[in-house]
Amino acid sequence: MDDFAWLGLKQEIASIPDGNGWKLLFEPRAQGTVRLFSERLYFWILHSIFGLDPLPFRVCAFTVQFVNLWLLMRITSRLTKSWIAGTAAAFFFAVSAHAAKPLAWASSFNQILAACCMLAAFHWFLDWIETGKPRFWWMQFVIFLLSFGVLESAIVYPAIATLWTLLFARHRLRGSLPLWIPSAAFAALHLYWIPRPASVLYTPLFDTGMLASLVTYTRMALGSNRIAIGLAVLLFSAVFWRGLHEKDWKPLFFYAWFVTFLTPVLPFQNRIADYYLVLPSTGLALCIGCLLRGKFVYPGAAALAVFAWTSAITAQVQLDWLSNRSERIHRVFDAAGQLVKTKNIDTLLLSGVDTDLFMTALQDSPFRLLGLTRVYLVPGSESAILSRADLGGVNAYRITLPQAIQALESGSAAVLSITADQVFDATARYKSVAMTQYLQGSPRSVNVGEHGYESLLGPGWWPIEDKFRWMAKTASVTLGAPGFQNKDRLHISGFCPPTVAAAGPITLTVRANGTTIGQKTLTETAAFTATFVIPKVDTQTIRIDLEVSRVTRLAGDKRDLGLIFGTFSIHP
Amino acid sequence: MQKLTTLALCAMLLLGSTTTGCRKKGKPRTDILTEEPAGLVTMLHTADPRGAVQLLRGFHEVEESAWRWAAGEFAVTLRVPKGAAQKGANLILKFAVAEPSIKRFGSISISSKLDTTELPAEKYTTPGPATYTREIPASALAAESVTVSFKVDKFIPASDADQRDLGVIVSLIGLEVK
Repeated sequence: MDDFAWLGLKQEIASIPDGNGWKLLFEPRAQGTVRLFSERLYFWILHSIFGLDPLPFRVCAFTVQFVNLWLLMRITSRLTKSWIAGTAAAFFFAVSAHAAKPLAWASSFNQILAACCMLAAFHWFLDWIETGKPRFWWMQFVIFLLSFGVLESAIVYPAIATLWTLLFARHRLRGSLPLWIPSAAFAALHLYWIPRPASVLYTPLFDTGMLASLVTYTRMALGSNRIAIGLAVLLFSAVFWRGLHEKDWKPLFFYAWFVTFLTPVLPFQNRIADYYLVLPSTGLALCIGCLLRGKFVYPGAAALAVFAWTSAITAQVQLDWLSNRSERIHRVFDAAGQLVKTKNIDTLLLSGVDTDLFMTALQDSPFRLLGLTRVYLVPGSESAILSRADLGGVNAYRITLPQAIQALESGSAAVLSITADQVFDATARYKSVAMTQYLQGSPRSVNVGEHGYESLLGPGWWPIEDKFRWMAKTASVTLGAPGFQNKDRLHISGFCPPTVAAAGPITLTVRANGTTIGQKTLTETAAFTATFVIPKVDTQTIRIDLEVSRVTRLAGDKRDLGLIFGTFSIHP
Repeated sequence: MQKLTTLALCAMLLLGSTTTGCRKKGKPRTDILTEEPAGLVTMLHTADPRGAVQLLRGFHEVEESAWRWAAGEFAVTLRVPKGAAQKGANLILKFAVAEPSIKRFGSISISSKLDTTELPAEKYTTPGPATYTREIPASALAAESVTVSFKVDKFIPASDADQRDLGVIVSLIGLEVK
């Protein structure tokens, strides 16, 4: 989900003329976010260099995650003077189940990169507090500024910095205050410039439900099961014991870090996501690291072991789920790619798409990456899909039955039948199914003066004018072939206007699949109907060709005009 | 040295914890693009992946490799068997009535339509396997294939618990020459 949307960015940028594509890098998208570094440039650059190979994305994510572990170790070790504490912090973060998904899902890389930015900024902030050297302050300030292009949660970093100086380095308090300026500016920009997302999922709710969300996230961070409750009790007991008995408030500060970085997502109570925990849980990691000293080492290590065990189980379930979903779309994507190469198609019809597959990938138009822009759900199947209207729903995937048949008959389309674990080229079989449906219904009756029948019209028709169409010298229309009883006739209705009749008689010749089936001569201004016997045909559709004996030109109109038509229908 | 060792330990843990989900890497991705035979089937097992394209509407995912839930209305395309255009055929729907449906409604009725030919309904009052059979006149089977649609008069509507409309559990739909 979302990956295909970002992978399409390269094409979107290239498609905008005059070199203005770069503006897309700054255009609010996906709930009004502008994550320049963690989404736009990340996908654009890696896709441009490595194509659709996922390995560079994984390498990038893992590399940043290793930096996160190193930063956690370094920060904790310097604060506690204990390498065991540093190891514990890194260990907690490394085995956390919620950190697994962003490593495997490119679109949530922003969470890992944001953690890296915030840890690096805080690390240099501590350097500045210790040494007083301005370059450290500026380094943390620059990375703090850049982190606004990574994840919006960076907005709360000044609260972290200010709280730290208030509690542990009050003489440096003034150094934390300028950090509020970029945050205030970002908040103002977000409020006035970024459009509000329409989805209820991203509607912020500022009420007591935010507390419930905080409890949920805390449980999720510790494992989402009964053991998590036990671990939470242990954690909070240790935090307060350490504060009250040893006057060491660093663990409590780092729990506040967890809460602070969660604050930006707490109002989105309809959208609880485990990967939102990555950045906040750096605080939990630092908190646990700071606790694991003295008498807490052994019980803490035991609790961490339990946490690692439960986390592995949770991560396994999550990654299996993610893997199964991505395998399925991968199969479909590969199959489509092979069809494009082997059959030279420009239209793809998909059968068997369910809500999950649609929401996982199709919503983000993945096939444009193969150069395939005409991708549709087989007619009728779209009604079973529950899609998000705010993302466009299934509208882009709708095609009428006549249009589908026309594409299939032209040889430019193929059909993929998708099941839970297989993908078939079902072109031939679906063509039979579609024709069965097609021959059942209205396509044997076409009103050229109405919209919706365009796919059945061949060349030679001018645009619709108030419920009718002019033909040129010749025109054609495709209808469902007559039934087996062969009692069907072709019925045509039209109009011979004064401008045509004034020039004398005009003869209309009608052919079916190339064979002349009749003529009609019109001599006066009037509506007309004509009926023709259709010879037996072996094809499942029949092409009706029309030709007039002469054309007319109206004043100020350069078109060659034949006659005006309304309906063509085949029935007894 | 201690830090290097610790970092290496974390790296291993990280790799271990995130690659546990990749156990299927040896599995071939797909047997895609096996061109199917053009012909449609006459007896359509709803769990048969190769027949899935004949399920026009109203069917949910395959369950237990054997059946699918169908909604209140569902339709399939079937090939007309040889000889049916002369002798006529029987339309067969093998399905199961779910216990929750009977508990909730007391009974359900299924009716069908073959192309434009309406076929009479049948009432079911007990849960469990059932068959709906209707005679089709030869005159309605002149084409190579037909569309058959079914309607369940009472079905369990979508809810928060299950976002699907649930009519009956269908395992097979077919045409059998008389």
